[in-house]
Amino acid sequence: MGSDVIIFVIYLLVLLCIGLYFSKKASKSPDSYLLGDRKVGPAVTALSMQSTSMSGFMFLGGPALAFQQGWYAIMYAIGDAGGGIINLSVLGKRMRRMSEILGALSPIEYLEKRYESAAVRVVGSIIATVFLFAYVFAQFLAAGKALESLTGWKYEWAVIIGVGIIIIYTVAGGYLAVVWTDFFQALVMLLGVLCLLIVGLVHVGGLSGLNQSLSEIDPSYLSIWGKDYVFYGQWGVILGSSLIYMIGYMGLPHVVVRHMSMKSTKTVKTATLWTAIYNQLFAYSPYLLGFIGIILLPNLSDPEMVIPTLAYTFFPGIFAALLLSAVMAAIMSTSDSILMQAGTILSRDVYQRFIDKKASHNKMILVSRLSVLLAGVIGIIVAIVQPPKVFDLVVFAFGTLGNSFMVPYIAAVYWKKANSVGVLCSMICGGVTNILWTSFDWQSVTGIHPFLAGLIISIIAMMIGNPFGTPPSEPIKKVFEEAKGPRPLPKNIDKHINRDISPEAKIISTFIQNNIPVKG
Amino acid sequence: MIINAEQPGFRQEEVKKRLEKLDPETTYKVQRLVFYPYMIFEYVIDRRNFFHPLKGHVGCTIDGVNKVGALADTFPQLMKQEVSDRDFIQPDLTLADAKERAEDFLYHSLSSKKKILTIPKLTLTKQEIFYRPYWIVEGILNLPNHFFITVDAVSGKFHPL
Repeated sequence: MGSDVIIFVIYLLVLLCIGLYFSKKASKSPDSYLLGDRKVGPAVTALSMQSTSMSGFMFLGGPALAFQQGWYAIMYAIGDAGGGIINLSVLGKRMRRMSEILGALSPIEYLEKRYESAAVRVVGSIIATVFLFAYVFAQFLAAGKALESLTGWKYEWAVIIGVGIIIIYTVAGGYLAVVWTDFFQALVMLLGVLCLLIVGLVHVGGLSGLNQSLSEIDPSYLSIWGKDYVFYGQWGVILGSSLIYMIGYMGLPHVVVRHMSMKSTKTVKTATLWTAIYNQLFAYSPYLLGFIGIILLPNLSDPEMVIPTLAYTFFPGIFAALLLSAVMAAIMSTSDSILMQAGTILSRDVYQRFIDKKASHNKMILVSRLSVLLAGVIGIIVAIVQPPKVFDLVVFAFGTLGNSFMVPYIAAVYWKKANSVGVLCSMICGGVTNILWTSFDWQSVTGIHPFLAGLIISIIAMMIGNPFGTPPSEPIKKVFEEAKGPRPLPKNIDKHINRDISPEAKIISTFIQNNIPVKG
Repeated sequence: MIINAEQPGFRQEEVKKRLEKLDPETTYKVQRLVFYPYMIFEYVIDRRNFFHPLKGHVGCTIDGVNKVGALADTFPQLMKQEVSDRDFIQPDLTLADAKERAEDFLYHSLSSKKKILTIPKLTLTKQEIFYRPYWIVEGILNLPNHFFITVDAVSGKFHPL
């Protein structure tokens, strides 16, 4: 057994321990199992959000794109680097407040309660279930392939071992196990990719040496228009490449759920700082390794293997050993979150909402665990059998989820008059546009990226559909205002505030809120 | 319960007028009083030093919840007042603890402000638990847009809640 496999096995055992550690806490209530009691701190919120957002694509697809297209691929990295910050800044506080006021435990339940429509929940559940499953199948498949090629294990066993571990810790420890393993995996990803990047840059003479060599091979590698200027003048493609990750994460239910589980709205500020630091260190590195691959691996046949090949060919043993765990961390941290979300939707949005409304706490925890288990087992079977029709869905998963849910989530907290008809139009039209645009390759005809097209149609559909719906009720309008948070004071009052009495004001504030005697 | 309370220098109407003069766009509703606990200690200070003699009275209040000290120039005018449980905040320290804090605070203040090295003799002459009234005021811009502030009913200082 090689050192990489030994490190990987230790890594799997750590994940299992984390999952089992949280199993008792998770059994307290559905709130604990599905949202970790809304007590997740800033560092874990930030890093788990990033590792969930950044899937195996960061180690396989992203570097492959950089290897094929040169500096154009950095547009995706720019989106990735800013995505987490935008997500937390735009949705963070308001979604945290509103989800708690509405008592929503899943991102789909949140939409139903905000838009006061069971139809929103039904359509949302269908879209989320289909495409989250497709997304998780893709991750399981990637896990199996990465393990097979890096360890030499048989594909079927690789899937069963890799995915089996994810299922065990997710079923046992629920949401808390997912966020804490994701936090740990984010650190492994960062460590892995930074070590490889430093050694890689030393090999090519630093950033200047890298650009010098790229321009000698083909100057178009240095342009933002892609190799051979294939996207020349197509601003829709360039913009869409950045937008897909910069704002797309705001439409992924398994990512936005992090806003709902934060300890408080104060968590957002520190979490944004953590995200900014992590992303600047991580997001660009895989793409830079793709560029390094152009120079060091001119005859590479499978671009997706650029990072693994670099690691095993040029880098000292320890870095190569770390790589397997880092690649698997990226895949597993996304898979467990999607699996958890798919299970949550099945248990909360389907079972409790439509089958057994009065299910007890214990029954709901059991159903949630069984739902995650069921989703995982189906995932393993599909990843092994690989039915072609199912895998046709995979290419649409990210874009369709993003285009279906992003506008509804943003409108929920920024547009008071947004209603169910507008949101249904937005969800359906945004999702369908992405599927059609991708299927018929309208990008090459129009020069517009499918995500950008889906986003534009989704916004237009919301504007057209909204006037036909019933305006939100008075209680929802009140919730909307409360979700905005404390209002700023009038200017002249603010100017005359006396800070001397701020300690007393804090205590009085607690006193009148609770109306109980306060003890410091 | 009967407590020793300072008398409000600013009545309901005065608070409302003052705030509306500062901010005419907003309607202010002065809702009720909340009584906040303090402990006050008065000492006679006596330092017989040829170069730097100190003599006189010195006072210190201790915040009954935050446990923070402050120098007091005068002993407040207090009156017995009957209040319900929902109108006053209970202190979180005993008079003995507060006395210890007050003396620490005074020694520290005297040594830093009067630039003296030796500790002067402090003799306790008065001590009291008392409550200061604070108004709870609601500012209404346009419903449901509203905010709350608290106004110190003795000094008129205010702070948002």
